[in-house]
Amino acid sequence: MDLGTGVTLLMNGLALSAILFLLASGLTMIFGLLNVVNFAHGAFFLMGAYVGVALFRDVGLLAAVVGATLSVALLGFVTERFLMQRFYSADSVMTAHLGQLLLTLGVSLCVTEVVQIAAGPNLLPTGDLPGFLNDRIGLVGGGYVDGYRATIILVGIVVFVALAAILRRTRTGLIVRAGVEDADMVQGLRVNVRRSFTATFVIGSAMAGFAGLAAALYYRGTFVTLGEEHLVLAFGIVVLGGLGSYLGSAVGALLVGLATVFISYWWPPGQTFIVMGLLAIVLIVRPQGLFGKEVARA
Amino acid sequence: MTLPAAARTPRVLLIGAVGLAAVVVLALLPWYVTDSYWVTVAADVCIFAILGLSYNLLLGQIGLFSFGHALFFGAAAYILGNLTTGGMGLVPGALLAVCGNIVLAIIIGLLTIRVSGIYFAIVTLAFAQAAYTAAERDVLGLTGGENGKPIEGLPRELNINVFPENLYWLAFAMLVLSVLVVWGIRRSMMGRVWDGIRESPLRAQSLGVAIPSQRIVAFAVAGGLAGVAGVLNAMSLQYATPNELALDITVQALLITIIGGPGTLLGPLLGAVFVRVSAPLIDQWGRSEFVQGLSEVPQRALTSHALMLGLVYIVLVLFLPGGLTSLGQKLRRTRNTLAVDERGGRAAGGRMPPDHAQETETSIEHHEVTRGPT
Amino acid sequence: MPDERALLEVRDLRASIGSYQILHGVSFDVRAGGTTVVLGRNGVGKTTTLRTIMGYVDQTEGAIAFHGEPILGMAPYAIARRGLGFVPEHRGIFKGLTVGENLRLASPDESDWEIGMELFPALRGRLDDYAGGLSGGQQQMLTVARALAQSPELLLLDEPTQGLAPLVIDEMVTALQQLSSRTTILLVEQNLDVARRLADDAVIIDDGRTVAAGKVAALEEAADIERYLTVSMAGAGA
Repeated sequence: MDLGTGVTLLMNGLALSAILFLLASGLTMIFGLLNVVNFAHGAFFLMGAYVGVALFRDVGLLAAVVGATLSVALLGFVTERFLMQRFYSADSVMTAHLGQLLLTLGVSLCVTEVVQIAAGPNLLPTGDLPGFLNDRIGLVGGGYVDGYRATIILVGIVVFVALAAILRRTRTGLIVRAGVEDADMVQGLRVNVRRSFTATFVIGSAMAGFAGLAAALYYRGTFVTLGEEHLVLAFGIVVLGGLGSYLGSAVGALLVGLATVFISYWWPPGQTFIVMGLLAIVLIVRPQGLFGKEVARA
Repeated sequence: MTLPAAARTPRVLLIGAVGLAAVVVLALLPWYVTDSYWVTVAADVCIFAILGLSYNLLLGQIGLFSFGHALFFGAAAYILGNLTTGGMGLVPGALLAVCGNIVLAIIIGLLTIRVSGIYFAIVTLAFAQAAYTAAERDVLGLTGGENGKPIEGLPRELNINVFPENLYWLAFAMLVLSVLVVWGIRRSMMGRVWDGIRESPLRAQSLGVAIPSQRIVAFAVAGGLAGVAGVLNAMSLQYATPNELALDITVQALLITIIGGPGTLLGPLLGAVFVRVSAPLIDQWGRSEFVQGLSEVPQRALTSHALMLGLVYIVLVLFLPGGLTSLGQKLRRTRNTLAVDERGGRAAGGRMPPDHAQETETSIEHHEVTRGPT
Repeated sequence: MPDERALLEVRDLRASIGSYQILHGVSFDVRAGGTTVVLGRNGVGKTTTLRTIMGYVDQTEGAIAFHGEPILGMAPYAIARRGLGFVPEHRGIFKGLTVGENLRLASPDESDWEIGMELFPALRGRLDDYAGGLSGGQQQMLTVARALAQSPELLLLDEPTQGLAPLVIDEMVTALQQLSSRTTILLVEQNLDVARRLADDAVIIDDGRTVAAGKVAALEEAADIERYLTVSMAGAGA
């Protein structure tokens, strides 16, 4: 592999990592705080992609970004507030966590299906991106990065820093960080963590929606299995990084994004297979991932 | 509520008699269901009922939420495909496929021996997806890529396009066997141990239960049953394809178990009927004039099997977590609660009825506060 | 003028967790200004009683009144806002946060932290240390200090001396004795010696039911009292 190809792949990998980070960070924080794995996250991603692309084709980029993010945020709000909250008291037939898990699965099925019904089974292309986003920026050794991918890398970095600042320096962030460790105790200190749950779920979902649009623009089109494929990768990332670890989701996204791009260059068929295999190994050897909390062994 | 001993015996006899009658009636199905299409549907229901029973052993009995059950369904199919294209006869091939599946299940069980809860779900998903993508891209040349591997040596009698009733009988016989196996497990000491593991692993451990070995046994049995289902399915399709390893299969197994009623024997059976019969029914309805007359999007919405299942599933998870089998119980309890309210008080002492959670909720709303998880 | 009515009244409290009923009828009063201890062997429901008062248990029947107002069925944060503080059995500090951040979560106003710091001076210099790095005793002190930063009227303590070295137990007991002059305390303890030193009133629970209640001294005299208490602790003490 020459330098130019390596640089191009690196840029592609970083762009994919940025998108995966946007998707996975919401998933990991939702798990960390609410203790539920949101299986609907992939469907939210898919919805963001379709709503975004539709708006992009008909209206414009800004409308697409706003539309994708807000529509999924609203969906996330409805899901958490009216469906998941019903499970906050455990029932003896079905424990709270299993119930919420199954519920998010149901939401995933319905949302994915609705998107396919509305948009049809065919690939929905985005067409050309406006302005410099379409251009190629030349880099060292003959490598290049296209304007869009460079932008999304920057967006990823900005979001990472912004959320980290919120987590570290604001009271809301403090509540979330404490709640990830022990939500009950936070309640015992007079804080209505419920609101933080809703906020985290909504923000996480909104980011998934935005990530969906970002992915659609990356691939220059969206298709029906977009959500499914990326959800599995997102799971891989959050597990690798550690469920509930914000930093872990960033590091995991970086590793998985780069690995995916480089592996698919060298051995295309092995791409998902290898990532899944690695994920399985990590789960068996070190289930808490790189930065996660200790997992109770059976 | 346990009936006094005197009343119990006639009840068992009644259930036994009903069960036997059901078996006879269903065995005679091809004689009164003359449309061969619906006979193939019936065979399909049997196959997925077996898969549901297998999944329920893990989820509903021992309490392991697997998100990669498709692996056991598709692996058996591929083993069968490879063996028969390699020259082996159908019957030895099928037996070896099921055994191979059991071995695979034991291996997976050993690999995941210390993994529980959501991590278990994710790791099983990872294994299944790895297998799925490997099969799709024909990673080791064993899977024939997207087209799959044909099942050779299928006698004309078992060709579902020619003699659907034969395959139905075979599937039905296997279903009856599977039901007996699962019923036997549920009644046995081991089954009770598994129930204990599901309800409280800590408590089970403190009582001396060796959870790891029980898990392996559960895996082996579930793998075996899923293998039977996978082999039958491959025979009916005459092919082993990546679709049998896809996430969709696991979701089907989950839907069947939850809609039918997790942890029950009847549940997977009812669930399989509901999930697999509703598809052709919806298709038929979709061909009706009314639906054909609608514009494209509403038409797709009303004929979407997946959407209908998803909605039913959500409703059940929210309001009837015990699935369809608990419907009778729930109706009875609603009548009882109404009767109690008339007496002007809550049920006295003893075990808190689960409906109590709803009562508490109303008083919470009255206080204008909301709850977090406990 | 002392309030005639008890600060906390628990009447015929029943509670279940999952499919197991743990409390079968617990009743007692907590007098304002005093320290009440809940005694009993392992597993009888002492912790469940505290957790139910604090709102963490869903399946409940009976009545709990704080200042005469019913609180059974309210969410934990709402109960906490009424003036109850909770120090749970396993300390409940946030290990990934610093000592200061733990306190800040309780109260953003640093002057509120003074009460806790006075009682436990060891915490003063360690505000920027991660709570997970503290010793067991220090973690316990942090949990109490954190609860105190919210100036609770009634402080629930679940075995505050559990797992602590004898010297540290002494420190904790001294601090709690000082505290008891300004805050009403409801305490679960298995250590009879600690209970004697801290509490005026006692409630004994067995098998999820109240079996005795009264002054600590009086209960100790009762002939058959030992069978309700932790066997190893009977007769222990200075």
